[in-house]
Amino acid sequence: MNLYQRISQNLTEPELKLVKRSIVFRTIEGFAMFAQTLILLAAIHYIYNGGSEAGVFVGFSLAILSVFFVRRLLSFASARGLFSAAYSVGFKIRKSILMHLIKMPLGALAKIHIGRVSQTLSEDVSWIEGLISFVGPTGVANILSTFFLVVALFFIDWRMGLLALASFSSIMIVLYIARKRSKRGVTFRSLTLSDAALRAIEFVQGMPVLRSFGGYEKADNAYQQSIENLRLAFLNAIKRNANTTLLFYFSMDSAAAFSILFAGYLIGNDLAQPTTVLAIMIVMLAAFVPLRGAMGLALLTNLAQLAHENISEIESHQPLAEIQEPEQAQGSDIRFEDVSFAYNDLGRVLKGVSFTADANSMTAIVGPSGGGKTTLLNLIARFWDVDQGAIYIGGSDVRAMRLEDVLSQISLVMQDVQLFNLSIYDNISVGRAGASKEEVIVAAKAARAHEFIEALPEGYDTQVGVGGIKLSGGERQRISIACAILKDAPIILLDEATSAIDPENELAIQHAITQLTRDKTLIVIAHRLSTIVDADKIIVMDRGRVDAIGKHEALLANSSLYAQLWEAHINTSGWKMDTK
Amino acid sequence: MSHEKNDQAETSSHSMSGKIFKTLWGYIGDYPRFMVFSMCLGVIGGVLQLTPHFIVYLIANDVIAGEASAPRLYFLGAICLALVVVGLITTWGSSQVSHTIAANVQKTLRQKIAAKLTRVPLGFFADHNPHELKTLVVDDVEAIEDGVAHLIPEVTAAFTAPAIVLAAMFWMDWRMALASILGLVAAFYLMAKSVVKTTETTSNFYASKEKMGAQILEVVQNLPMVKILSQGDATLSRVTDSFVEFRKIIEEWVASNASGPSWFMLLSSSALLFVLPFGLLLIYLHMLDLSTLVFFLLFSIGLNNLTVSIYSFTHRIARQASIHTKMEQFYNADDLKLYDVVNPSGKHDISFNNVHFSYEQTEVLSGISFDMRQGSSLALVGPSGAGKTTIARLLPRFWDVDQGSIEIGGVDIRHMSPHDLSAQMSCVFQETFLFSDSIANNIRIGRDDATEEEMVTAAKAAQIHEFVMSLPEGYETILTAKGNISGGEKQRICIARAILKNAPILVLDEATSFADAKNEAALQKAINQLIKGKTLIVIAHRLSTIRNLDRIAVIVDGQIVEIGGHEELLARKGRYRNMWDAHSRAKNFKIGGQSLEAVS
Repeated sequence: MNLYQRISQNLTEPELKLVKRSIVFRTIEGFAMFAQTLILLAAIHYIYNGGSEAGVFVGFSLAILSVFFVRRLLSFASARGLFSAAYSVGFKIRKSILMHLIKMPLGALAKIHIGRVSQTLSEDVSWIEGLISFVGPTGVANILSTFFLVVALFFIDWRMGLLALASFSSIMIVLYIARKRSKRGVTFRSLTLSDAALRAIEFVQGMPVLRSFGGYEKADNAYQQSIENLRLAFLNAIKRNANTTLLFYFSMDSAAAFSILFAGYLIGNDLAQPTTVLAIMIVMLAAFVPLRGAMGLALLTNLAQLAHENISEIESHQPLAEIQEPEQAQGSDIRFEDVSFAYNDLGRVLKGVSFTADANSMTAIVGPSGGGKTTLLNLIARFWDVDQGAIYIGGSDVRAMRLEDVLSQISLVMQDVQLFNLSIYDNISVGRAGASKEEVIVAAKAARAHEFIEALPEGYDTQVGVGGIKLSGGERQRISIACAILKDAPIILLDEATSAIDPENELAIQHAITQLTRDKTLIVIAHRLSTIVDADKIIVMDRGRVDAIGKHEALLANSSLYAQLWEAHINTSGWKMDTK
Repeated sequence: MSHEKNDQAETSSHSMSGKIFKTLWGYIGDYPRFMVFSMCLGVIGGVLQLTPHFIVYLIANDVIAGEASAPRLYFLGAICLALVVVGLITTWGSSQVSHTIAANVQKTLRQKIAAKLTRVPLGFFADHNPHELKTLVVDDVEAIEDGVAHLIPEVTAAFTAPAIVLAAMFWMDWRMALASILGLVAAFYLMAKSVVKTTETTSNFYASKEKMGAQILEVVQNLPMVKILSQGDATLSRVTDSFVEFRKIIEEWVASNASGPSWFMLLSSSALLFVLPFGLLLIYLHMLDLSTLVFFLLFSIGLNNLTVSIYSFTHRIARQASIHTKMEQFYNADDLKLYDVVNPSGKHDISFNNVHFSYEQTEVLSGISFDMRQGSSLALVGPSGAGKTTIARLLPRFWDVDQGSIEIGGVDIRHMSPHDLSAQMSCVFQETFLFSDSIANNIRIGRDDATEEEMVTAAKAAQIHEFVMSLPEGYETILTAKGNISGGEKQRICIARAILKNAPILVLDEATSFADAKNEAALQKAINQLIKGKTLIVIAHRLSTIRNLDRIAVIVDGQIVEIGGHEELLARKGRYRNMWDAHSRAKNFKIGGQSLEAVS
């Protein structure tokens, strides 16, 4: 797919017509502008030859007037619709990129530069919008009208036509070269821009760390380097364009000068009348006016082209495959069958993992960090797809189900809760779109969050700040639990959810979790083994493999790793900090 | 009412254009001479652009007088060519100079913004999302190029060069000159009228675009959440809503502005509309000769070349204005007050004296006072939201206190140089943040000049060395934004930072929350190493871990309700005692366990 296919794909039939029509209109308009020059020539010619009829003078005046009205009509006819068409294409492209990102496995997403993605969605698409609303139609019309004009000149005087054609061709060649050359500069600059975007975002997000470590210089170096790179890329792009720009305006502005020299030749050899020669010169003065803006437009098409390439790059990452005849989960039990998985080439994180988590039971996953526990949850939610083996929910391979169906079965409470920069109410109700205020409050009460929310001056309407920064870690977690309670999905995935909460609230939260997980299929990652000793099944993970599966008592006897973990847990429970 | 608003906007927009150029001129502070040079070149280039018109006029005179000859045409043609080349080179030179200035201005601005970001209280970042600041530092500064490199010289040239031409026209024939500028006057009148609307809609446009960008970033960074939450419908619709809103703004913009530029383009390129009929009339009345008419006809076309760019100025100036307003707001954000006293005592006693602190009108801390001797330890405990983390964050000056003071070694921390302040302490917070950089560099944030060996020693002490070595590229592994390392591993890298820094004051906020049972024992050893002999402030929810510390402060609703040693507080049978009992119960809690029924 190229840029123009992308655009026309997103244009509706009437919009496409509109774009074509406005190109025609603008071409005629360019031509009409030149008609002014012809009227002017005719007038000079008439007076030069001694004409002085009032009627003819009025005729010339009326001709100029009518040209004006033709232009007035044409230029207003399409401007408005064109903008609507352009921004509706932008809208569609943005939406489709976003949908693509949603359907992409997170693994592929991890390979994409976040700075670039957001740059593409917000900035790049604008260039395509600009191409449709202005750059494209104007540029094409300018070139077309000049071309027709050159052709028309052949009919007036073939020598004049030849001269004009020579200038026209050289302008077009320079334009072509300029576009080619600037493309590389623009690509390079766009890369440095998105790198700078990433550095800037990190500089901002890492500010607390930088503050408390006084390590400005370190991150500052990366940032300063990206600033300097931007400056160099900018100068580089300017240099790259300088010569071709110079050549472009030279081939345009010199056309009249060459026509004067050519006139000297014609007069010297008695090949033309002085008035013809004058006409040639005046025509050459006006002929290339419409092309003056073409250089800038050509560079803008480069940006749109680049935008298209960036979008294609995002789209080249395959989304999770769409299912033709999706299966439905029959029940909420989860089965791993010989699952192997690697995030990247750093090595496999899961190696041949098999186990079953029965419906309406509690399955706990324990083991040293880096053992693959969180990965298990990621795979159930299909954030990534397995490399080998399969995962079944209710007997159906998750890859044979529609992603929406998989996700609608699952609630996830993560270890590091990020909220959206919205009100508390909105953050809870993302759990179920369209939930009533009452339902949200009921969920918040069950999650033991209602009390602290009510204590805030603005209650449920409190804006939580970027990522939820205005709430404490424990408060964020309870909002997240409320959200899950509201969603009421049959499968609950719980990841270290009790880590950042004070003891008084911890009990309350534990009650909330009990509420949440009643009659659900629960898979929980917990480090405090005492919380899960009663689990129906405990899976001990070690370096990507299942070390042992069983109940607490059995594992203590059979798994040396579990016994170690348990002992460590018992010991650390007695751990005390000591500055002496 | 809308009329009133318009009036207001009109007065502000008048001063606006002037203000923008003053601001742009301020940006180029270091290079005014070069800029003047560039502007002069621009004007010369603009005037020289009309050379062909003037020379064709001379030739027309010859033709009318019947004196056109080949040698004279060759001569004039050569001069014309030469002047065109000179004109192009001057224009080119003007643009080279102004772009080079622009590149340097951009760099300076970006440095200034970064410097400002290091001075504002961290609370600033709760209200301004990363995308907003990224837009400011990357895209907006990028757009200033247009202001510095183009608008300054181009606006100068676009008004000066036609002015020179108009002067020549008036000198030739004032009546025809009046006719020539009629179209231009009408065009400018319309433009001035649309400037008001343009300014408003342009800033609406960019504000809406920025909002869209922020929501895109938030969604892209939280894709896992977006996916899981009701299949992303609710969160996604937020973003698509912002797309819709953006489109609506565009429609408004088009509706209110589309005719402005069109009329301008039309009128400014229609000089002949007035010049030709009027000229013909004068000729008919024998009040004008053909040669003068030709002059005006030719220069009407030429003038059009010069003014064609003006129509784009309004919305470009409006764009600069909206950026400028944003920059001004940004620079106007309050800084933390900075002084440069170096802790003279070299002591690290800490005292909080009646500290009050509010966050958006809500008082978070109400009169916190305590003293700590150098080398002593203090635990902060209490319900979440009580203000523990705020206390910990006031020490490295994430914010400044509203009332009271915090002193280290007897010096108010607000009077210390930021460098000296941060040199005295290490902080490990709940939220870990790692840069997209190598693991080694992430640890080295602790101490820039640490040797490889020191860095590795710190990593070993933080129990992260083994993990790092298991990666194919070891310490040179670049961490990515969507990191492939677990929360516990991240936290240990952060602890390695603190160990490497080895500062006399240590602030730990739930530093071991992500550690798993097996690593925790080792990590605890590391922490005991790290805290030896340090002045330590620690926030921990697991009360058992802090019962050996010198003192424990129980924070409730922003106040210290109890302070003392573990045993002392237990004996008091107050808040701490309750928490301790709850802690003991929670420790024995079992998810889904029957024991719950009894409690609830």
